[in-house]
Amino acid sequence: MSTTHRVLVPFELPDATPIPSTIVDTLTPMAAVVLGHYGLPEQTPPSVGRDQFEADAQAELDDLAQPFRDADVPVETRLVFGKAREKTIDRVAVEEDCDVVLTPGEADGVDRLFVPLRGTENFDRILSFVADLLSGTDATVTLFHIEDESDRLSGEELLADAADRLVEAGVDTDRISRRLSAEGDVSGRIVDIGAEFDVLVLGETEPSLPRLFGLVPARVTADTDDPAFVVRNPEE
Amino acid sequence: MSDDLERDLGLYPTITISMGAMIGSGIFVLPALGFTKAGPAVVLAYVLAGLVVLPAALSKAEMATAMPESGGTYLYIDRAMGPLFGTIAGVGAWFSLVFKSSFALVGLGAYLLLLVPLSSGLVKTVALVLAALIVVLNVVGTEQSGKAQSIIVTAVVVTLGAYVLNAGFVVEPTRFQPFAAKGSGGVVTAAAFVFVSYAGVTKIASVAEEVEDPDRNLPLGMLGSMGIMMVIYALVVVAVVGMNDPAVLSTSGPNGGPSLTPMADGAGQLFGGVGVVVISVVAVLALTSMANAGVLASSRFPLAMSRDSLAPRRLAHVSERFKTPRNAILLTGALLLVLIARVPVVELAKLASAFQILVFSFVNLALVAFRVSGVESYQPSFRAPGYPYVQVVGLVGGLALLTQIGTLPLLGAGGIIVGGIAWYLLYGRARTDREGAVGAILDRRRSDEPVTSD
Repeated sequence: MSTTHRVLVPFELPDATPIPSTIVDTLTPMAAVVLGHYGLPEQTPPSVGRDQFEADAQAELDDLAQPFRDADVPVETRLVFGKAREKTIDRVAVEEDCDVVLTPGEADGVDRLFVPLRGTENFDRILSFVADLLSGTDATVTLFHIEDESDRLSGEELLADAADRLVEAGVDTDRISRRLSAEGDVSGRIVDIGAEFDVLVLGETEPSLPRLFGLVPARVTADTDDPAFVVRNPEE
Repeated sequence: MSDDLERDLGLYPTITISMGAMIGSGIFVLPALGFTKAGPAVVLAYVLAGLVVLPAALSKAEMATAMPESGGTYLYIDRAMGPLFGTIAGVGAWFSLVFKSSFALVGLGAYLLLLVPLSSGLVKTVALVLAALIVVLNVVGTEQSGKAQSIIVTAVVVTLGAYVLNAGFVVEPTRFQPFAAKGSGGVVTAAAFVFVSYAGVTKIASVAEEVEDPDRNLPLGMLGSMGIMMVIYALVVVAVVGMNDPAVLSTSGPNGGPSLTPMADGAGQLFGGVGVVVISVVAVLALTSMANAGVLASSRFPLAMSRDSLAPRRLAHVSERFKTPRNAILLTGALLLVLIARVPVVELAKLASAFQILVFSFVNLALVAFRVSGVESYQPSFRAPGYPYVQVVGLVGGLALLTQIGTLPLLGAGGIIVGGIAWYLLYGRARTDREGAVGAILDRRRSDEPVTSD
């Protein structure tokens, strides 16, 4: 299978929490870049920190990347020393051509995916990633939309369109369900409803800015306990 | 391929880091000291000092684009002139910055005592407590505070602007008569004293490895921040001189010495009577930030020297627990506390300036060494304009200031040179075999001789 998506998996070193193997297994049709960010206080020049901690950090990073190798996911590692974690993740995502960033969380299994959709912005990339994710598992997916008066398509149409794309990509119709919600606090509602699911897939709807993620994905990933894949929107 | 060091400082934060490192004792504490030497012409002293620093800043900007690594001044001089001069410069730059930080802390204590009803005899005690606190903070490690730094710098600049505008209404022109009361010699002496006000520009070079687009942002950041500060200093000093009775400035400090809080002295007339409080609060903010930045930046000198085998290896060790170079910070902190406790405050300022002038003279020489040697590894993307005349002016200007600074600071500068040489001979020489760009020049000379070339 061709590897279309590259997923950036950032870890905060040292003593990072490994990614559960159930999540790693879903990445089989894709490639991964495992990024170790070794946080340093401003007192320590990054080059000094690197000299002293590089060997240990690289060993830890290799251990963290092992589950990916075991699952036959093509994986590369990057080790960065410094202070600005988010900026590093963003920079490495661009340099390594990663279109998805995984933010870690708790997951016992991957049976239920939750995919909130804002509009048709970044639509292709999000749905092609969801289709890839589903092809590696037996999970079901719930497409979700919160209605907004600025919608160009009605929520029904948007979700139907999204479901059609997944079916075209080879996902069984009975694995897909749709859910509409009335207007409200977008990120709060995604976090609340997302709690019923195992894994979230969030799409950036605005072009990726120097700040990590868009406003909504940033809030959701900060508040949710679930692992979340954030699909970037790298168009300039 | 990227070097995987984070580069996340743009031009604006680079300028504010530099301004943040410059704004502090130079403007909040030193004007009165300069005034006692030069009279109202102390204004010219600030401009003159800036002009003498400028060549070194240009030289440094060029070298920073060729070696965008931590270490700054020390690194450039070491790579240009070899480890002997590297040792002298490293020790000199370290001392200068620690002296400056201790002076800032004493000034901080003085302003703090304007806010709280405590005996003014406690200035040094307060300074010692604050110093200990800052050292602990640095050992434990702090998050990048570029944003906090920008906010403080903005607040201080806005307040200084308001101070100048407001003072414009109460300045008495007669106070500038006679202008150069102590003659041109007095101006030069005062310039030597306030030289250290511009030393903060060093800070940019020491964070060079974190600056994005270093080829553009390093030189622009240095020149921009220096230009802004020269204007700010000149305006504020005019306001200070114009608002205060000369006697207050020169005798209201500890033991009848120059005032340590000159900006607050006349501020009672400003901001509807709350000027003293406003200025004191801003001074405390700026001086705290300066002292903290000073401890952080000065600890990089022993760190960098240790990595080059010019100081014990332990000084480069990063604490497993705090992820900070604890030993380098503790050594710096110990010196800081001893200086505050033992050295009279006016001497702290003079010595800091003397060491800085010495180091900046070396910086100019270092650039000349690099250019003359033509070593291949030296590929600056920014080339300082006016070479070599600018460097010669900087060097001569620096030495001229040094001769006017007084006996003790001059002895101090001599002591650094002798001490640096001694330390190099006893410790560094056996452990290093670098010869710097100057070594390359000498090699070339030798190989040019007919005997060795075939």
